[in-house]
Amino acid sequence: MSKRVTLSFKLNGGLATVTAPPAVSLQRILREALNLTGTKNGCGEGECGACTVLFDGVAVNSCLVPFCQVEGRTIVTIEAFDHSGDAPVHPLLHALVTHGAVQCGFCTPGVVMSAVGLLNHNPNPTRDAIREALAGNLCRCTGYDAIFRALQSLHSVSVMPVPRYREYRGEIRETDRVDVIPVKHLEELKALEVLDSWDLRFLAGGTDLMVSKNGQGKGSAGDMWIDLARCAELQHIRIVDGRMRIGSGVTWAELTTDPHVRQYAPALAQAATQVGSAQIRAKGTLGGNLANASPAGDSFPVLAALKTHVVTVNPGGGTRTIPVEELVIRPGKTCLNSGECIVEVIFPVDARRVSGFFKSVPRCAQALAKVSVAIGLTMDGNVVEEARVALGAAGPRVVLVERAGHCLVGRALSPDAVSECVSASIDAAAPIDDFRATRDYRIRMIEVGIRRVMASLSRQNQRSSPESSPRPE
Amino acid sequence: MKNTMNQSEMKTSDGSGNKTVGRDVIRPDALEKVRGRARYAADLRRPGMVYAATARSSVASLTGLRVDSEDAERMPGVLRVVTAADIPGSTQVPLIYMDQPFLAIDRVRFHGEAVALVVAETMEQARAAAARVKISGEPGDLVLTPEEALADDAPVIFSPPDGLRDAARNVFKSYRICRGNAREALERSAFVIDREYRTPHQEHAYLEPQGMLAEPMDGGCLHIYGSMQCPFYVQDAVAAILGWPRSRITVIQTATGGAFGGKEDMPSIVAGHAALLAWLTDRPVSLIYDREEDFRAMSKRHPSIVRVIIGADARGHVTAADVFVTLDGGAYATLSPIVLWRSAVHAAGPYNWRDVSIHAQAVATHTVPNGAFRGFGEPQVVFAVESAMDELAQRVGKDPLTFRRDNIFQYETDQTATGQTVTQPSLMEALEKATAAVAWDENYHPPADRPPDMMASPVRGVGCSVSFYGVGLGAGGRKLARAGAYVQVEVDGSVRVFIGNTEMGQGARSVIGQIAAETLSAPFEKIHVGRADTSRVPDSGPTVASRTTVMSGNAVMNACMTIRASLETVAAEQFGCDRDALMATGDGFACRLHPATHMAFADTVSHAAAARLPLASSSWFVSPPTSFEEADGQGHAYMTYVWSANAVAVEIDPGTLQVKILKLAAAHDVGKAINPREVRGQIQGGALQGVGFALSETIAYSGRTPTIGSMPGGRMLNPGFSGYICPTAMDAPDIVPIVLETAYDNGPYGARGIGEPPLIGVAPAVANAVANALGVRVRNLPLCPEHILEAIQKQEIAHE
Ligand SMILES: Cc1cc2nc3c(=O)[nH]c(=O)nc-3n(C[C@H](O)[C@H](O)[C@H](O)COP(=O)(O)OP(=O)(O)OC[C@H]3O[C@@H](n4cnc5c(N)ncnc54)[C@H](O)[C@@H]3O)c2cc1C
Ligand code: FES
Ligand code: FES
Repeated sequence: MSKRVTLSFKLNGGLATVTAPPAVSLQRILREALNLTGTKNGCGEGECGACTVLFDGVAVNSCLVPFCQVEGRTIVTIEAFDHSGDAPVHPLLHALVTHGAVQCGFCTPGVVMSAVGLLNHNPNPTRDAIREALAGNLCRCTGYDAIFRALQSLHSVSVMPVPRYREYRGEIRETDRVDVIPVKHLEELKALEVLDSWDLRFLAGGTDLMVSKNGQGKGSAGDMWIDLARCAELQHIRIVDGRMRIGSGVTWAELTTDPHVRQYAPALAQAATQVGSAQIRAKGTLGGNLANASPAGDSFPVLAALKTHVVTVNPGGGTRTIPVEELVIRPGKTCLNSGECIVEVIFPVDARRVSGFFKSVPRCAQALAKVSVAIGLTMDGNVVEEARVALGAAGPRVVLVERAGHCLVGRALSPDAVSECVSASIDAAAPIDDFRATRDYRIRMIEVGIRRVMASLSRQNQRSSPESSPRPE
Repeated sequence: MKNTMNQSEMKTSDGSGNKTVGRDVIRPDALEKVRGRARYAADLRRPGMVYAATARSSVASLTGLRVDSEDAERMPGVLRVVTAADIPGSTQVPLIYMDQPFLAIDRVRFHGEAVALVVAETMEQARAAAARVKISGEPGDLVLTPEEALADDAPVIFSPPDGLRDAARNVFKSYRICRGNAREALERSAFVIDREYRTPHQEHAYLEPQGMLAEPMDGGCLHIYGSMQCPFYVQDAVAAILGWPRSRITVIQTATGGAFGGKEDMPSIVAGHAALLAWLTDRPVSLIYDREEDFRAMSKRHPSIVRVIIGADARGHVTAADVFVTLDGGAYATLSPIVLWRSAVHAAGPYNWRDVSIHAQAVATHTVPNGAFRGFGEPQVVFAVESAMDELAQRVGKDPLTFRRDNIFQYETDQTATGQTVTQPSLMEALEKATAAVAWDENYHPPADRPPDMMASPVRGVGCSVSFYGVGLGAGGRKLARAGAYVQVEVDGSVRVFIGNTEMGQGARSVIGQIAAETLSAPFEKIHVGRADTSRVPDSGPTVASRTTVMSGNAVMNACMTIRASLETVAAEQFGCDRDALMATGDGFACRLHPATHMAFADTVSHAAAARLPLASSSWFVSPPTSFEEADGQGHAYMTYVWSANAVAVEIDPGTLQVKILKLAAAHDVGKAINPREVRGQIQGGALQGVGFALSETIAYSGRTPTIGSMPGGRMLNPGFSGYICPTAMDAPDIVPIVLETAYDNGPYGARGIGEPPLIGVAPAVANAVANALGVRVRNLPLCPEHILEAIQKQEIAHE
């Protein structure tokens, strides 16, 4: 049974001090300990957005934020906009009401928080930017259009509320199964004595782990968490000696915008942009995606195509380097030992390498891949020097198409070469028939994906003329 | 008729036009909701409140049910574990047949069925203990599709109680509608199409899961608060399970986070459970569902199999329709009989068949019980008949728009399948406007022969559909076709209005407030429409079938007219004129003869109060008569119809086969848009649910859908928002609402209703557009890439 902890955080311009088990969600802290019921619960698994709050200014799903991670942070909830008495309604809320963007209202507080998260850094968003920012907020009533129009009507209005200072206190009396050990430096981890009795999990962004925890019984969430969120040594993106090193704690949001990633690993940036929703990308990490070992995890095909190694550290100090395509044994199970932590991923950087990603999805956001394709080609002029083709969700773990090299290396990207690569990939894949997609469709998408990515790589390669991209070494 | 008289009275005193009706007033509830202040069921707290959770079967079919609650009872915080044996009153949910138990007895008929209840000090404790209740028995044979249920040797899921007509083993209900001789007429027809269409389960996906609070009160009373559409159904259910008189049970609806039919009958079960536990523990009990159990156990839209045989003569005029509708009702009858009735009445579409035959049946399977969902059995048949009309048009050699123009209802002599002559059919106008909005003439092209190569550039197409929607419960539910209202004007000029229908997001409180303001000539801000509360108004039937505006609206109007007589009396006295000379200003009255006169609403009220005139009134509205002859299905099925047309432009990626809707135009004749902005909101929101139904939404069951490993059959495979694909903000297409207003004589200010029509005709319009773009007809929803691929493969085989 876990101890309860007492933590403080900034809340709606005031200060909150709460005593509760460390692994319960921020959503429960707000609703149960502080009786701030404007934050709703529509699913408890990061899918609906009704629980959205601002976490240091960024929209996140409060159902997926563990209490232990809010210490010292700044949280803003819908209540910050609820000016008391006759104070005029906040302009953002007014716009929503006058545009007819509120029907049943259950999604509304979450929509407001996502909107604030967007408008804070983009005061005049386009409709597409609004769609993207709200993709993690399901609304079943309005058809969304009224919400879009409301946000577009604001024209640079300042959206941050100015609530009055207040102290919030509360507690959750229950205990729960999970204890949390925060780790700030890898040294602490190396020194950690892992007990056999622990059912240990690392906690990074929590977007997978909290789903298991909230779902009780659907997949175990363990009973001892090592919280990596404040471990600075896991947050880097840098290029050293011609190799890109990305810390396991880097989020999808950071990957979408990082200039190095965009330049040298465009496939990774493309994959990151398409993950979940804005809320999920703000919290979900690369390391968490790998360790979670889902066959549909988007990092696998991309990193495999980029020829990546995963670097880990064990309690006691030992480290390992594992090719990414060998990390997973079967769905949900990696080859990592208990307590073995992913520190970073490393892949070579080569200006002659082009890469691309294709994800077949059932909808435009909040979508697991039916199948995905990532390709990395190192080009010598028009000729392929090295080729890596990887398929996601096409088998129990990522499929690195071994024969792709035979089909492509030493040749130009001719239609014949691409067709051979398609056949080799389909042969290597073992897609299943399930409720998400049929086997036939997955096979077709492998072909479509490879052809599309190849076409775009061929265009990329033509654009980057040999003179402007100096050869390394 | 009393109501028509009201209308004409209104016209004489309302010379300057409506003041509040027809305006985009701001919904009062929106202000509460947008600030996070609205309290939904899960937000309610009471001193001493305890929490309940439900233990559910993880097997779809069990006999010799045994429940072992020992472990669960020993879990921390647990007060009690309850099974059907603890129910003091009726063990059956009171609805049409009473075939569904509140808690399973002896048998389990679907995965997720409620078997036991746990009440504990916290929600976590209750849920943890519910997971420890051991449920066992002998697994029975499984029936997962209507075909299996109808087989001669099928295991029995449902056997009709004695004396029930038109039901049989595993058939909850059947209907027959017959006019002329369709079979013979089809034999003589120059062109005939005979096709089968299928639609899947659709989940409501209301954002707020089901939830109730039951609170014991003084004097042996019980109050129920929660998320619901039909407080009177809830009151019935609680009275039944406790065996109490209704007078001791008060049901108050709290802010309801979406419903769409899913909170019509299901809350009866949730409230019944909460009430039982509150009574047993004498504590307030909160029962809130989590999303997964809400998916597993709450009703869905009926899956359907619809066979359509329709014909046309050599000139392209439709001749006869022979339609066979089978709905999958799931494990219990719940609302299937009346859902089926609506399917049957609308199954032939708004076309001038000379001969019609419709057979409809609802069948039992070991899957979640299906019930009400926006459109109530109509989206299924409209998908079938509107797809078939396009197929017939192609056979005849006409484009689908011309073919519809030639054959839809146009004149007041035209007759529906039940032989009802239609009034004010504005379908042509709807069709012209919707198709014009997608630039039909420029975008329509004869359908492609075969689909393009997978690397080709995207292809485009357009499609349309027409539909009609009977407002209210119609003859199928005529016993419930009445509604009450209570209006009380306070001496300070503020007004309370109570109705028996609920606000669930659709804007009922705004529409009702506008009708009250208009009729009283009061400023809209003065009107407070209270929450639905069974102690305020008598049983007014359910909030379904787009009936609130007409039924409760008329009742409110009647009550307000009575009060208005008091107000007019004092105003006329003040101005020294006849009541006939008064004119409503939107805030009190003026005298037409003396333009400078004016008396504000609040002043008329204080004068009337001083004169001791009545300022409160309750009223009762009964719907115009309807009829339905069981033998041949002929009659005046509904009081009126909403006329609708949808037109869609799509773009399809030939590689991924993903359908992108470029534009969806939805035209609906609502009679009168009391609040035009909210009407547009209903259209856009309903249409987007239609888009989900068209493109992506479906429920998968093991044993019916391919599954990995050896999972037992009958389990729902996608009980959550990650596997159930409803449209996100990035998927929502441009939806253009087109509002037509042909006043309905018996509607308040001419209104008909709009809740459901927007969903109904979207899927066939999309299917028709896909066929136009790709040259491939997909006859099973959703139009997901997998189904399109299957259709392409079948067509390729046929071509070879
Ligand atoms: C709504 C929603 C949408 C999603 N959409 C996508 C999507 O489109 N594509 C996709 O690929 N995924 C998606 N996911 C899954 C998830 O968001 C990602 O896998 C995410 O990257 C996980 O990172 P995290 O930091 O949140 O992991 P956590 O939840 O913190 O951890 C996940 C697992 O990894 C372990 N772990 C974490 N860090 C380490 C480490 N450094 N070393 C060893 N083990 C570690 C944890 O113990 C745990 O078992 C989605 C999830 C949700 C809820
Ligand atoms: S409650 Fe649905 S995302 Fe958190
Ligand atoms: S308003 Fe009901 S879900 Fe958005």
